[in-house]
Formats: sequence, structure tokens, C-alpha cells
Amino acid sequence: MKNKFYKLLFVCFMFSFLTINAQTNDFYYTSNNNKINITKIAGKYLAEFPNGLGVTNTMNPTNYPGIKLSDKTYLVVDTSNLDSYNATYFLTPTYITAGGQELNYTKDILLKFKGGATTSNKSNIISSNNLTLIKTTLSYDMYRTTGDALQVSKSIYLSGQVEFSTPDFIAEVQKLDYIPNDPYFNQQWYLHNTGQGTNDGKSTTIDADIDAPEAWSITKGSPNITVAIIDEGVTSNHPDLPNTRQIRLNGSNFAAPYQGVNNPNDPSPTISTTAGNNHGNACAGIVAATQDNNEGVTGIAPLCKIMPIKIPFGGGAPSSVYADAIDFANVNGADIISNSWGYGSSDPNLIPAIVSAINNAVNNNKQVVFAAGNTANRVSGNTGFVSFPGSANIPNLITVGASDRNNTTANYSPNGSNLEISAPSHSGYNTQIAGESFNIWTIDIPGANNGYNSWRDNAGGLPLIGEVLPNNGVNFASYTGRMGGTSASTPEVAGVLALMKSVNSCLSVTQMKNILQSTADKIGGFNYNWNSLMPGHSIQLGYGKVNAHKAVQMAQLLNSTTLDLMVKDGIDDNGSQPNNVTPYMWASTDIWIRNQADGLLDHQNPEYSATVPNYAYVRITNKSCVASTGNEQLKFYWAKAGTSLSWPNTWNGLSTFPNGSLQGAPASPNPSTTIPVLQPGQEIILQIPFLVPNPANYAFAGSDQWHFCLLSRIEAPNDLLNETSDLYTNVQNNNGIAWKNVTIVDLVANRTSGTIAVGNPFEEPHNFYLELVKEDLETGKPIYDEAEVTLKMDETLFNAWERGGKEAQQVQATPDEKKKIVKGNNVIIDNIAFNGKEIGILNINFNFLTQELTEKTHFAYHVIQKDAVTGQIIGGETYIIKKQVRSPFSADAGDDKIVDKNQTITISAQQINEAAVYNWYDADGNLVFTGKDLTISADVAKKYKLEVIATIDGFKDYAEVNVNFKPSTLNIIAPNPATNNVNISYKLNDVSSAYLMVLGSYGTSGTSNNYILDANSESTNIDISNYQNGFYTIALVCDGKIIDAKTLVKN
Amino acid sequence: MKTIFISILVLLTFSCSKNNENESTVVVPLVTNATILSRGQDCNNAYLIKFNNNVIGIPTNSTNNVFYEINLPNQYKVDNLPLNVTFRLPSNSEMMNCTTQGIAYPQIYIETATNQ
Repeated sequence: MKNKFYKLLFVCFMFSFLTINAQTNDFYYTSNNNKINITKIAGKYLAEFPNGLGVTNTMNPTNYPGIKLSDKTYLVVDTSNLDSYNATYFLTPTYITAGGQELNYTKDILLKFKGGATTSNKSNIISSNNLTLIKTTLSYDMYRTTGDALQVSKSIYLSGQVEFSTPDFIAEVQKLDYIPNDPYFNQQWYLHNTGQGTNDGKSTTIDADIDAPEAWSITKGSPNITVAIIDEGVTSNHPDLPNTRQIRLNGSNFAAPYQGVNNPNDPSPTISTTAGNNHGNACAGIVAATQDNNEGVTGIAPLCKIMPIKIPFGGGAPSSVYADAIDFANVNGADIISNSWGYGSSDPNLIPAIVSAINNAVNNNKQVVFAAGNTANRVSGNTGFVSFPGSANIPNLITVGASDRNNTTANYSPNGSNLEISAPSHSGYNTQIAGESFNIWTIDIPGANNGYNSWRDNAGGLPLIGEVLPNNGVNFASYTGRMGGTSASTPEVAGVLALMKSVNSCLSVTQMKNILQSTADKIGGFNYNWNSLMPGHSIQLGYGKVNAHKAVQMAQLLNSTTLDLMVKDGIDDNGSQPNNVTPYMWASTDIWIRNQADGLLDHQNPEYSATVPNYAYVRITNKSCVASTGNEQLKFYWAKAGTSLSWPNTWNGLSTFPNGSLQGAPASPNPSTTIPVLQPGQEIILQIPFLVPNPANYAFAGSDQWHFCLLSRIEAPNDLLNETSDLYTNVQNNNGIAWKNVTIVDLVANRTSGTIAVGNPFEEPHNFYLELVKEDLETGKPIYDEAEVTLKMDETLFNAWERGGKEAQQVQATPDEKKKIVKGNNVIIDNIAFNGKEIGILNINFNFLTQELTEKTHFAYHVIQKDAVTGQIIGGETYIIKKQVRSPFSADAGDDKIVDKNQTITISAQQINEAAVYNWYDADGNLVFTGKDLTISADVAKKYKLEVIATIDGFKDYAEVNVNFKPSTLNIIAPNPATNNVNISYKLNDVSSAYLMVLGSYGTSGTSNNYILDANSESTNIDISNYQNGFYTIALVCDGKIIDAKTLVKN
Repeated sequence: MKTIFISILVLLTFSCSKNNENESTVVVPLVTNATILSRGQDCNNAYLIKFNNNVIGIPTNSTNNVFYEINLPNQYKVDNLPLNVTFRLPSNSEMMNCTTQGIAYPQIYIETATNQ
């Protein structure tokens, strides 16, 4: 009865709420005329500050106008004081759907044009709605409007030219979070950051965490999974980590002979009020503190077990002790070995015995995790170094850096190419950034005078004021809020690995590392594409911030009980079928070519030799929990690089170009290679000899570099492929098929261009379009801003484009209509109307501009061919452009020239200090001369453009010079004074008409006479015998303007 | 007086090393004015020592000229104690392993220490 009463009360309340607060109805469209009704909520708005808040102390939450969604957007209910922030802002109302989902939006619109939308239709929509393109993705285009995004998006949808058009709604995504009852959980912002702030009063950014509650909705761990904590020991039967979840083994105290009077069979910390072993508990608690016991904190894997292993610190013990400790964890069944310690050296082989022990553990499928160390001080410009053993060159060793409460790098966390991943920790130390301090909450040595909370540090690592530590609740003295550094980040990653292993116990260390890499959040705005061998990696945070939820999801996904061999389509490919995450299916990271059998990992363009093969390498992973049989075959194929390849015709040796040369074929001499038995999780790299086809057979495409597309297919009786003629879909739907259409543009080797085929794979005429986009993972200048990117179509491709109307976006025309210069991102070459099976050729050239150079050395640029009707991707090619830092040069065409008409002059370019080509262009862009010295006969005034291209790498610079005519002049009047005849000499330059005007002035009657001048002559005679005596002005009038004047005296 | 004597001794040692052995790799102790701060948070709570003036030849990645000491005699492990010390960089085998909770101050091997 009571329940019914409350339900009735709730219904009444909701009715009145909606009646009072819901004012107006509106709607938006999704695809297929699906109309979604929404209702405006009175008094609730989204305030967007496009330039951020205008307050000085943005760290103080009290300065925020409402609930902070991002640095620029806030949910507000009180709009009266928004002006006080002295910042531009926009207000949009909050809406609610019938299902109760609140929606907010800013000025951004997401839309997708229909495949049949023409360029002019698109342009009309964009201009009539005053849209500015923000970005284009595979799924949508994002535009910014100056109007109300809801109304504008509706208008766009009603144009009939889009599949969908909606505001870029900001809505709370309903996650299946699990929120535990541990009272200090709200302090554990690193697990679940709701913007709650830290214990020392710092604001935190929503979702700057590892998504632990989302992961707990899948698993809280398995008691069969053990994490070894090699550290300062863990308290026996800690209130939040009982011995039932500790594996405390005899012989696990390796510190016993060296420090204190410890029992070698007891891995407990030494307790001291001045120098205690506080660190081990803190790390163990982050991994596995008990959850839902109404006490203290929670660990990340609260149902897993920990194995405390105590080691000595601070010197005095032989290095063998540390190798022994790792071996101990390895042989005693630990699945993950967490190490929040290291040495003050980056030497990757500082202590070979430790390297050997890590290798042994990893080879025994034990995941070893090490802290990167706290060697940086970024505010002082010191980016630090990764400490040994984290710096050891061991495949599958996981080295952990620290992100912070605001999703960027912690001040002390070092840069490093061997940094694998990061996890949130405190932002900085008080002595490096004033006011910063530890704020990671975990378990501590019990006792009010023990552990980190009682710690006093005269070196200034702790905050001076403002820190709130555990001071109430059950056993509050068993917890601390003073953990931090990469020490805290490391057990976070270990905990996530334990959760992954809990849902999929057959994961290999390689798979777990790959999962961490591919599911990490790319935070901080860093360059995650700085190295072609490590796509997705940044030197600041490794592969990004660990995401427990995504990692556990993927680990679960890979738990297959039937054989599943895969070759990755990209760094983010988790083996799911279909693969809906990899943006460019043709850029497999598991296929590469080497010109020699050197086993290196960097993809090279295949190089022709009549007798010596190149070598293809294909990495195959058994992503299932069963071993392969050894009867599986890897088939390997090549095709000339193109964006319209189909299956199987392009690859089976039956399709030819018009000159009879093969479009592609199974690789020779070994089209098929047997895959050895692979255990669950195991991977192998197969080396396949590959005789490269003779480029002379493809001379019809010109002399530019035309490389190859590569295809691998795994044929397995127990892992069948599902294929159609649509190659792109085949790759997407089968993790056993992978594709590599990557052209390396290696400027050092004087290769500035790459050629690809663009065609129609169908028998019937069909329309397509090309998109050219920069790599989203890159930061810094895009390739088209640092280099001149030129597109050159052959006759066939140009004719097809011309048949479709010659429409294009983001390109600049040149005098050669087949040649275009890229002017921005998202180039569209629209409506290419191919006949059946027609193939054209596109060459893309990259000339770096010496005035635009940055330190960036690596660029990726994608060419995507899409069906103009459906918008479906047909295929694509990725260009990897490699630039080396070099000395710049400047083109210098000299000073502007002033000449007489028809005067012959030479304009000389200043020679640069290296071999170069000097091209001269007229104002229309026509090439008029190649050479350093341009000789011209000046018939009209002109501007000339000098282009200087370095021979070695195609770097170029431009300069301009103007050739102008001397002004027309009156030269000599003789005799002067004159009586009857006077001879007037003049010089006319670049005029169409000219005359002399004789104006009487002082002593005359003011008469005026004009005398037409011959442009081909330089003097004329005037009879002035009838003129009155006096003074006359002789003016030279050219094209209606007085240019020069002199005085004549008549006597 | 003792400080001056040690300084002269060091200078003489340095000069002899250069002249007699002509080896640039000779490790030469340097003397400097320092203050013992307190126990650090890592490296088994080894003491932190601050060099009070600029010294050539020490790691440049230190924060505020603070270092973890190796081999400081126990009688000098007193908070805020001013000292004169001679020191060198530690060899690989002398380097301490440390937890990674606090700032990774570089490590310095103390050769001699005297009260100021």
C-alpha cells in the first residue's frame, strides 16, 4: 500500500514537473524520415563558451556557472550571471525525449549526404545554411552553424539531400556502471571521475578515469587470477585485503637478509613511524582492495588475488635478489607481475639478470608490468626518461606512465618510445608545481601513526595546506589519500590486466598487450602517429590512457572456443567480424614488405629485380582458445596499387591492363605457405619470398612510382572465409583476410610521388568519387599545408571526371586541367563517370615547401574511392610520406625590374647551394622557361613566378618578380624659347593612345591644342608660329591621363 | 679550515690525475656545500641531500639540486644538517632501486662528509 502511494505521488510529481517545466515541443529527424519528438525543458540550458571562461582561476569549481561538461560547455539553470564571465557564450535550451533522455546541443551539426547528392546541391546547402565544415569522418560530416542547430538541421534534412541531419547532441550515455558501496569510492576519481574533485581541492575532468564501474558491469575478477605485487610487502589480513585473497608464500620475503629482522616467509611491510614500508600496501590496494564491504576503498580487480613478494630497496642487496623475486612470481603461478619500482638509469640492459628474469616470465605467458618512473618535470622543460627495467627492450613488457585528473600527462611522467600505456595518477609534486600533491586513495598500513598519512616530508613533496586524508569511518587509519606517481598508475594497469585475464584465461601476453594498445583512450591531444612502426603511439602517454571497460570487453570478445586465425587490418582491429572499428581497411599493420630478408618491421615499397626476391612478412595470431592444426595455409597476392580492386579477378592472374600486363596475381614463387601450429594466443610472422613484377610492363602509367597492393588470405578447414566479389567487404567481414595498399613516399630516396589506379570494378558504367583526407591521429601541420600536394589525372580518369561534370572541392586549378593542387582537407573529386571496367591513373606528388617546414617527419594521407550512388567505400590507398629535417633554402628572383617596352632583359634566379631545377611561370601559371636565367622581351608588364625545386628531395620554394615599364615621359623641348617650330622628344611605354596638349598660360589667350602622338616614334614637330607670345604648358597625355608636363616659351 | 684543506686536496688530486694519467675518465670527487633535508619517500627512505650551489658534473634533471644519497654515514643522517661533502656519480652496481611514488631525484654517491 505504501509503495502504491509513493508510485502515485511520483506520477503526480512527474506530471506536474512536465506540465510546469516542459514548455514547447519540437522534433528532429534521423534516417528514413524517422521523426523524434522532443520537449524543451524550461529554465535549463546549455551554455557554450567558444573561447572558454573569462575567469582567471578556472581551477575553482565555485567559479563555474553550472555543471561542467567540458572546458567550454556547462549545463546551467541560472542565466542571470553569465555576463559576469566576460566571455562570449551561446545558450541553447535543454530538451527531453519521450523516453526521458535529456539532450543538449551546441552549434555543431552531424549529417551525411546521400550518395546521389551532387557537388552543387551540397554547396547550396552549405552556403544557404551558412555552414562551416569542421571534419569529415567515415560515418558523418560535422559542420558548425551560426543559427540554431536544431532548426538548421531540420531544414537540411527537408532538402532531401541527406540521409540524416541532427545537432551533435550532448546526452548522458547510459552505461551499465557498477557503483560499489565502499565509502571512500567517491575519492577514487582515477576509477570513476564524475568531476567530483580531489581531496586537496582540485577540480577533475569528467571521465578522466579508467572506466572501472563500466568494467565491473562485466567482471570484478576471478579468484583464479593472481597479481604478484613485488614491492615493500603487504599487511597480513589488512581490513580491506584479507589473507583469503592473498597468496602469502614461504620464501616470498626477499628483503629478509638485507633489511631489518624480517622473517623470510612473511612478506609483511616493516612498520615504522619514520621510514615504513608503506608502498606495497598502496599498490596492492589499487589492484585488489575488497569491494562492497562498506569500508574504505575498492580495488580494480576485487575478486582476484594478490601475491605479495617483498624485496629490499635503497641498495645494499645484490641484483640477483630482484631477478629471484621475479622468478619467484613466475614459477609460483602469478598471472600478472606488478612492479612499481626501478632504477635511476634508462640503460635498457642495466642489470642483465633482471632482463633475463622478465624475459623468462613473459615467455611463460606472465604479463610483467613496470612503472616508467617519475623522472620528468615538464613545467621545467624536462621530459625525463623511462627508467630501467621499464626501459628494457623486451617485447610484451608493459611500461606504464601517468596521465592525470584532467586527461593529460602528469608533470613527472616521462616521454619514451618504450612507454606502453598510461593510467591516471596525481598531477604533480608540490616542489615542481606549487599546490599539487598526492591524491590517489588506496589502502595503507593500519594505525594512526603508520603509513603514508603520518608521513612528513621536509623536501616538499607533500602539500602545505588543503589536503584531506581519511579521518572517519571504519578503520579509517588503514587508508591513505597520499598515493601517486607512476607507482599508482602501474597497479591500475595490472588490475585491468587481471580483469581481462578473468574473462579470458587463454589470452597470451601478446594479445593482452595488443588489447591494451587498441582500446586505450587517445587523450591529451598528442601525436599518436609519430612513428609508422608504432601507429597509435605517442611518446607522451604511450598508446594512451588505459580503458578497463573497453579492454575487458575485447578480452571477452576474443574468448573463442573454435579456431580463429587472424591478420590485423589495423592497430585497432580486435578480430571482430565484421571489423567496424578500423577506418582504413587497406592499411593492415600485419603485412609489410622488406627488400631484403632482414626481418625488420618497417614497410618498404617493393623493388624490382629479375632474380632477387623481396620478402613479404605477415603476422598471424591465433585469437582463439584452441590450437591450430598445422594444415592451415596463408595465400599471398599482389596487384598494382589501386582504389577499385575486387575479388578474385584483380588478384588471380586473369585480369590485365589494356597493354596485356597483369593487374595482379598470386605471389611468386610461393603463393601459398603452410602456417605452423599456433597455440591459443600465439602469433607468428611468416616470411614469404616475393618476385616483384617488372615495372617496364607498366610504362604506360608514366615514369612515376607505381607500387603494389598486397592481400593475404588464411585458408583453414576449421576457420572458413565468407567472400563475395566486394573486396572491401571481404576484408571487413573476415579477420583471416588482410590488405595492404600503402605507398611509401620516401623523399630521401628522391621519390616524391606515387601512382595508383582508379577504376570501375563493375561491367556496367558507374559513377564514383574520390576523397582525400589527412590522418586524424596526426597532430601538427597536415601534409597539404607543409607540402604542395599535386594531383595529376591521366586521360582516361580525366575524361571520366569530365563526363561527370568536372566537379571538385578543396582543389586549386592549374593551367593543365588534368592537374590540381590540394588546398585543404577533405578533397572531393566528384562524379567520376567510368565506363564498365574502365581504369584511369592518378598520380599524387608531394613537394615540401621550405617556408612551411616543421619538425614533423611523418605524414599519412588517404585516398578513398566511393560509390557515388551509395556512398559505399570501394577501396583506397594510403600514402606514407617520410621527410627528413634538412636545411631550408629560399627562392630569390631578384628585385622588381623597370624597363622600356620591348626592351630585352634577363631575370636571374639566385643560385641555391644545392642541385635544383629553376622554373619560371607567367601570371597565368604557364611554365615559360626552365633554367636559372630567364630572358624576355618586355612587350607588356608582367609578374613572373620563380619555382626552385631541390633535385635531391623535391623540396621547393617560390619567389615572384614584377617586370614593369618605365613611365612615359616628355624628354626635351627644343628650341625653348621657340618662335616657329619646336621639336618635342618623348618616350611612350605601354600606352594605347597618347597626345600632347599645349595649354596657353601667362601672356597668352588661354588656347588649347592637342597633337596626336605616334606610339612608334619618339619625337614630333609642332608649328607654333601662329601662337601668341607667352608661356605654354606642354602636357603628355597617355590613355587619358596627364603623365608628364614641361613649359614652352613662345617669343 | 678543514673545508679549505679538503678543497686544496681535491684540487691537487684533480691536477695530478690530469697530468699523470692523462685520462678523461678518471672519477674525481667534487666538494660542495650541502644540506641534508630529510628522508625521501622512495629508495627505502634514503636521505635527500641538497647542494647549495651550482656544481658541474651532476645530473641536470634534478629538481632544486636535490639528490638521493648513497653511502652517507649514519651520523650525518640528520634533518636539515649542513655539510660539506665530496661525491661522484654512482656506478651501475651502486645504483639504488627505488619505488616510484615520489620525485625520481637523481642519486649521488657520497665519498666524504664533514660538518660545516
